[in-house]
Parts: sequence; structure tokens; C-alpha cells
Amino acid sequence: MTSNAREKILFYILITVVLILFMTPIYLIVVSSLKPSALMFSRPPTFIFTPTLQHYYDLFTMRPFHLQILNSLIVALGSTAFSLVVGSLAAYAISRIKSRWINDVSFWILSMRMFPPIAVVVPYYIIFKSIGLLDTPLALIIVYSTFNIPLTVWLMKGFFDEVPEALEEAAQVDGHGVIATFWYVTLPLTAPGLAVAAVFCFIFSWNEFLFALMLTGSKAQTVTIAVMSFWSSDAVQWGRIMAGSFVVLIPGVIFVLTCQRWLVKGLTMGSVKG
Amino acid sequence: MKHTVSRDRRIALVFLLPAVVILFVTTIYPMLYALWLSFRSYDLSKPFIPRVFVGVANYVEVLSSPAFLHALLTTFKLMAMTLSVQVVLGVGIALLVTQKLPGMAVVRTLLLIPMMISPVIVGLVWLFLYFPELGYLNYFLSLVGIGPVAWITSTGWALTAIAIADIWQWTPFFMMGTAAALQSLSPEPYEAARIDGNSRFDVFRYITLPQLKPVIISLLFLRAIDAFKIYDIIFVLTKGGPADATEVISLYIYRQSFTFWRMGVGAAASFVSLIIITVFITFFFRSLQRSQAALAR
Amino acid sequence: MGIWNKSTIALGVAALMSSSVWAQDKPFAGVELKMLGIGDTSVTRVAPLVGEFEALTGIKVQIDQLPYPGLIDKIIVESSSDSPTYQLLWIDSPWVGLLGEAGALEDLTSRAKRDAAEIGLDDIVPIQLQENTWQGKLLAFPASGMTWLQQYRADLLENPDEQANFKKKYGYDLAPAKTWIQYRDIAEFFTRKKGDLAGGKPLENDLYGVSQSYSRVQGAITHDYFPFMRSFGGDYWDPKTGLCAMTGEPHIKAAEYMQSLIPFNPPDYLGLMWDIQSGFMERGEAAEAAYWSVRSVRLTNPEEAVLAKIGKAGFAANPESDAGPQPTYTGTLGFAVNAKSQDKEKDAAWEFIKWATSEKLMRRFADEGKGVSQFRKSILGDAKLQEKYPYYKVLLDSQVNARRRIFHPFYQAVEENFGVELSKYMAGETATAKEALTTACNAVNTQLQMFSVEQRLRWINDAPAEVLKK
Repeated sequence: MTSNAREKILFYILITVVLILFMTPIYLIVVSSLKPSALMFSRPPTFIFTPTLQHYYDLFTMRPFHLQILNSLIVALGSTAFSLVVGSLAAYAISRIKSRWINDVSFWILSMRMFPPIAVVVPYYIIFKSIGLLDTPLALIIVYSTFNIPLTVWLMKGFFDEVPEALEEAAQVDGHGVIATFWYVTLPLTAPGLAVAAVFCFIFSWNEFLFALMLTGSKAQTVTIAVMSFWSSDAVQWGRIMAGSFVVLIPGVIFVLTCQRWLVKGLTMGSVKG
Repeated sequence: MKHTVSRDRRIALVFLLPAVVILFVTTIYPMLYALWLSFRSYDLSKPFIPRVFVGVANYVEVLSSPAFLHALLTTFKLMAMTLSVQVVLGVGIALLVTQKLPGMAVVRTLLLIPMMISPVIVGLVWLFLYFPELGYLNYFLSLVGIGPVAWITSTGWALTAIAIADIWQWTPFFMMGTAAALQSLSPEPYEAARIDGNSRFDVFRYITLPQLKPVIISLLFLRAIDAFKIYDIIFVLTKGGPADATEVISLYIYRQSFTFWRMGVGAAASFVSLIIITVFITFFFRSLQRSQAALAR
Repeated sequence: MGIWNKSTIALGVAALMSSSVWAQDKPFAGVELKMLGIGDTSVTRVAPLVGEFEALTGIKVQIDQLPYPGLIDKIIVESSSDSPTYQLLWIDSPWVGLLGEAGALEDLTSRAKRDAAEIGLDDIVPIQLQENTWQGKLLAFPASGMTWLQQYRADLLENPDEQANFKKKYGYDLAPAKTWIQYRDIAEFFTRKKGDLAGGKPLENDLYGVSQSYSRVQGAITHDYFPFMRSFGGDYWDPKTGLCAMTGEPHIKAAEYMQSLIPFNPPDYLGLMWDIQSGFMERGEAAEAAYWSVRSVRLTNPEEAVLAKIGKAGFAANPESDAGPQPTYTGTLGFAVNAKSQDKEKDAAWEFIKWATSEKLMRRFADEGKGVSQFRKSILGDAKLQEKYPYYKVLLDSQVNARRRIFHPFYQAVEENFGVELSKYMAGETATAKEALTTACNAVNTQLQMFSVEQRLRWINDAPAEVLKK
């Protein structure tokens, strides 16, 4: 038993080290967001000071930050939902169709994610300008979905592969059609996979910078741009950037916490098959 | 059930068609536009420059440009650094956090946070840590008598500094994936191994790792695609510098397409890099999967 | 009875007249404008006051503040579109040639001439207007002026002990540098370790002799090489061919000089971008720094700079090289009108520019203590304000003989290529300055050689601003 106790202590020490390594930057975000600007770069760094909420105040008074959060939410949730629906349907097809051509389709879909985004920024700008979608959340939803659908397809295919076809056959023998079988039998079994895909789609859409910079203006501007805009020509306004970073972090954490229950399960099932 | 052609057709029509149509409609124009650009001289900022067909000149320029080759090499170097460390660290941490001990669920959640931060902000946070002269990292290191290290301000360290930031952000991704897989492994082989009196390392090497391999490969696959496109963190931390120590493919494309406004060259570079990543991914993962299959036998 | 009084009266009358016009009929009431802006003082000071402007004119202005990295790219993409989203654009003056040659910016010359009295055209430092011209046309209006100047620790340079020691070591009196050699001597003299004495007090941190920008981020190294290069008597372009000519003796000397300052800079010099560089000055950790005046205001403000508490900032004109006196180097952050806006929007945008850059507003900012870097003679010359902001006099004096920054349509190519090559040289990866400069110039010239000599010569020709012609 003593060796077991020693082992436990060793585990906790290792975990503490890991936590310190990975949490220090997060801790710095929080501390710096509360630090008065004058102390931002003191030497040695100041860790004890009278905290100020000034940076958070600035965030919401100098920028329409609440609207930008709303924009980001609309874009991220919109693109996530859309990509999940379209992507998981396609993934199901790719998983079930046994003809050889499906591999080509599957690869074509995945290649969408491999193309360097920089090359398509201007073409997208031109299209959205001409159809009046520039500076709308819809524009970003569309663009992000072209990255999120391939991701969803790729993730979900693994999950559908794991659902035994015998189950579906049984349902079909009972008189359910292909669609009903998918909806009532297959999809519920892959709910954990949907959670995984949702998290990745959400994170990507919530955090993207380049398209958000080029395709939005005042109406649809997202939080990433808002935070970065405290980098001006003559200074990086650290306090505000850190406050913004912290606020921007919260929805992501909440989203992941909500999905967590299925997340672990989901990653186990789907990715094992690849 | 028989996989009849008609059933495949029905599934394709109902399930596959929406995605194919949507992806086709939303990407066909930008893709064709980029392809068209890649054969032209096109400067968005200087309308007085004739926008003419130049044949494969842009492709020739990209492929014969030392800067492009340097960027390609730097990108692969960075990928090698980040992906290898992320896999090892990720698996290691996953082994820790899947121990059946109190508090591990909280730890697992905490460790996911880095992944949820926007890459540009990750760049800014690490700029804070690497800050010339005043960075927290060097301060912490000085407490244990190390340093100072010129993280982002020396050509020797800069790429490593970028890699560290990327490793910090994406190790949780591997941790999450492998942790989930670990929790679902069947217990039987372990019990057998214990009875046989194998060492802990042997158990990991011969029982756990083979079972984790498919997960790791699929996680690597996903990360590799994105790691090849790394851009935001570097744009904020070093902008490719000092000198050209952190110039990656995406920065090359950005500079050609925007800063120099030679959009044809930028588009050509994009297609070249699309081909390179496709070939790389195909070969790399084919060989990984083959070794995997061999192992399974 | 100076010239200021007269122009002030003229301004007052003009202001009265125009405000009464606005009050009577508000011809632009209901027009909505959008500005593609940034988060620096030239915009953030005005942004909260747009409501006042709307009350005056009925014009609604929405200012979007974007990050500096990527902003010029967004402006180019925006200006390539026929029906613009933004009517007002924030412009850094080196972009004027690029945007001007593309026809992206509205020519403001006739409007400025028409409203000369109202805007106090004579009150604006001429080089600040010139800075915003392309081929003689005024394409943007100054909203914040920048001048390259020398900032130093006055408390240290005026310390009698330091002065005595300095004289013993270098054989001449310690004073703000008149030459770059003196500037380097001072840098060397004040490079001290933590615990050493400086001005009679032990240092809490290392003191660096100097702090200059060597980082590639934001193109800082290129921007800051140019003032040195110009001061050593160099020029950007060959006047006969219109090609990059920054490989000559003055150019090499300037790069070598910058390199010779490295030992006196903070060891992480390759990471010094603008705010990091000036941070050393603000914390009192550097003895001197040649820099743009945009952040000078912070050095005198104890809330923003420790130096204001522990020491005193001094300001002087740019030192000289052995090439003798050279014009000072300026830049401007300005507001411009998108050429593709509708006519009514253009006029409304001009109304906004007039208001946002008016003497009244500028004086209000200066009085409130966080003024933008000024470009109006009446404000820079105001005795009371000069006392409050000691660098005002330096700015005013040095602008008399000043030349503009680079304004070529291929400016971005210059910034990027020189950024890479100079950074390599400063990092010790390229052996000689000549090699670095030649590589950078060749890269720029490869692109320029596609054009005719006439076109290239037109691009380097800085025609005097028509708006300044009497």
C-alpha cells in the first residue's frame, strides 16, 4: 500500500506541473486584465496590486462589445448548426455507400479544408459584395461552413461506421424508411460524435480572424476583430486586449462544459475507427 | 442486407447531395477565381498594371523561388516540431488524467481551455510571455537560474518559440482524444498482463499504444492539415522574422497576395501548396495506416 | 501682433459664419457615413464626440476601429469595390501613393481651397499637407502629425556629475546630441548595469544607452531605418531611372550606424517594435531614443510614463550626420474620402474632416492633456501649451525644414523587402550592409522594371501641393 500511496503522490505532482505549465498563460490573461496599465510592464512583474475593472469598462464603452459578442454567437452557432446537419448527412452517406466513387467524393470534400484560406478571401469579398451579403453574419456562416462541413463529415463518418448496420436493417424490416431509420435509430447513437463536431465547429468559427477582418464592418464585426483592434498604429493596449481575451474565452468554456458529457464518449467512439 | 446500386443511389440523393451541392455552390466561384488568377498578372491595389494572361509564369516563379522553398521547409520543420511534441505530451498527459483519482475530471476540463482561444489571441498572450526584456517567461526562468533566452528576438530561437505557443494550444487536442480512447479500452488484456507480471512500461508499449494508434493517427491527420496552414500566431508574434526565421507557406502566400498585391503569384502558390499538402497527407497516412495494418496482423 | 492673432480672428469669423450656415439649413442632414478607422489617438479622441458633430450637421458618422495589422489590406480590398461600404478612410501617409495611383482617394484640393479660411489652411504646418499629397493633389487631411525627433533623459544629461565625467571621457560637453556620433557617445556613456550610479542614484534596473526599433513586426525596422538613411544624406530613388537606389554610401553608412548602436540597445533589440521601444524610454530605462512624436505626449504624463515621476524627458531635433544638416523626417496620420462614394457623401465626409481636424477640437484635446501629435502652428506655437508639452517647440521648429516620408505606389514592397533584409543584417546573418541593401533593392527593382522610365519617374516626383499655391 505504501508504494501505491507514493505513486499517488507522484501522479499529483506530475499533474500539478502540467497544470502550472498549461494554466500560467491563462492566469496571466486574467491577472493582466485586472492590472492598471502603468504596472503592465514593471520589472520584476507585479503580481500583487489593487485590481481595476477599467479595462473591462473600456471594452464595453470604447467598442460595441456586447453587439460583437452577439455577432460572434450568431456566426458560431449558425455555422455549427448548419455544418452539423449538412455534414452528418453526408458523412452517413459516405459511411454507407460502398461504391468506389464515394472515396473520390469524400476526398474532394476534405480537400476543401486543405486549401489556403488567404487565396479565397478576395473572391469571397467580391461575391458577397455583389449579392449584398457583405458585413452580415450570413456571409461568415457560409464561409466558415465550407471549413466546418468537411470537418464534420470526416469526424462523423467514423461514428457512423461504428453503428452496426444490423440495427438499421432491423428497423427497416419493421417498416421504417431510410430517413426514419437514420433519424430514429442511427443518429441518436452518434450523439456523442455530434458533440465533438459541434465543439470543433464552434471553436473554429468563434476564433477565426482573417475572413472576419475582411468580410465584416460595423454591423457584423466579431469579437476576435474587436479584441485585436486594440492593437493600433502606435501601441498595443494590453489591458484591454487581455480583458477582451478573457471575455471571449467564457462562451467557449461554457460550450465545452455543456458538451463535455458526450465529448469523452464521442471521441472514444468515432476516432478509434478514423 | 445487400448493397444494391439503387439503395446507394437513394442514400446519395437524400444524404450526400445537400453537402455536395452546398460545398460546390459556395466554393466553386472562389476556387475557379483563384485558379483563373493563378494564370494571370493581377494586382488589386494597382489597377494601372495590365491584368493579362501570363501562362504558367506564376507557377514557374513560385516553384523556382528560394523564398517559397525556404517557407516550405520552415513549415515542415515547424510541423515536425509541433506534431511530434503534441503527440508525446498529449498521450503522456492523457495517461495522467485518466487515472481513477479524485479531481481528474476538473483537470481534464481545465486543460481544454488553451484549445478554445483564438490563435491571434494565443499569439498576443505569448507575446506577453516572450516580451523582449520584460517577458514573464524569462522572469520565471530567471527564478530558477536559467536565461535570459531571446525567444522571439533571435533567429535561433524564434521558430522554437512559435512551436511552443502552438504546442501549448494544441496538446490539449491530443490529450482529449487519447484520454477518451484510454477510458474505453477493454480491461481484459491488462488483467492478463498483470498476471504475467509485466512492467508498467511494457504494458503501455505492447498493449496500450497499439490500441491508441488509430486514434493518434486520426488526430494527427486532422492537425496536420491545419498545422500546414499555420498563420495567425506567427502574424502576431514575429511576422516571419527575425530575418526570415519564421517564414511559413501561409505568410508567403499572404505577402504575395496582399502586401505585394501579386494576387496571381499568391494564387499559384496556394495551388502548389494544396498539391503538396495533399500528396504529403496521402503518403504519410497511407504509410502510417499500412504499418498499423501490419501491426494488427 | 503676430500672424497667429490675425489667423485666429479669421478662423473665428469663419467658424461663426460656417456654424451659422450649418445651424440654418444643415444641407447634409440625414447622411450616414462610415469610417474605416483604427484605435489610435487620431481616432479614439474624436470617436466619442461624433454625437456633437451629428447635432451640428445632422450627419451621422459611424467609426469602425480595426487592428493596424491588416488594415491597409482591408482598405485596398474595400477601395477596389465600386460601391464602397466606407466613405471615410484612416490613412497612414506612406499609403498615399499606393492609394493615390489606384485612384482610390478623392482629391480634396478644391474643397480645401474653397474652405481655406474656415479650416485655417495657413495654420497647418505645410509639410503635413504635402505629406498627404500625390502628384500635387491633396488626398487626405492631417489628423495627427508625426515628426522624427530625439527624446532623452533630461535629468541625466543635465546632471553636473554626469556632465563632468562625460567631459573627462569624451572631451566635449554633455548636451543633447547634435551629431549621430555624439548620440552614440551618449548612448555608450549611459549604458549601465543595475546597481551602478546614474545621476547620483543607484539604478534599480539596467539602463540602456539607447532604444531603437529593429523588429519586423509592423514594419518597424524599415520605417525607422529611413530617418537614419535620410539623415545620412541618402534618398530612396535614382532620379534618372526611378529605380531603388538605396545601396549607396549614405545608405550603407546609415545601416552600419544603426548596427553600431546595437551594443547600447536592450539585448532583445530584434524584438523592439514601436511601443516596446518607446516603453524603455517611458519607464526611464533608456537614456535616449530617436522616435516619431506620436507617443511623445506620454513621456510628460505621470499616468502613462514612469519617467515623468522619476526623471524628466527632454526633446531635441534629429541629430546630424557628417553629411551636414538634412531635412527632418515627418509623417502624418490623416483622414481621406473614398473616391467611389456618392457626391453628397463626399461633401458630407469633407464636412466631417473639417470638423474633426479643426483648430477648436485640436485645442480642446491639447487642453485636456492627451492631445494628438499636433499639426497646427497656432497650437504648436502656443506659449502655454509649449510649457505643458515641451516637445511642441521642437516639432514646430523642425517642421520648417522637413521632408516627407516615402510615398511610392510600391511602398509596401519596399517595407517588406527591406524589413527582411535589414533584419537579417542586424541579426548578423547577412555579412555586410551593402549585401543586405542590394538584395532588398533588387527585389523591389524586379517589380519596378516592368514599367517605363517615365512612369517610374512620375512616381518618385513629389510635386508641391497645389493647395499650398497662392
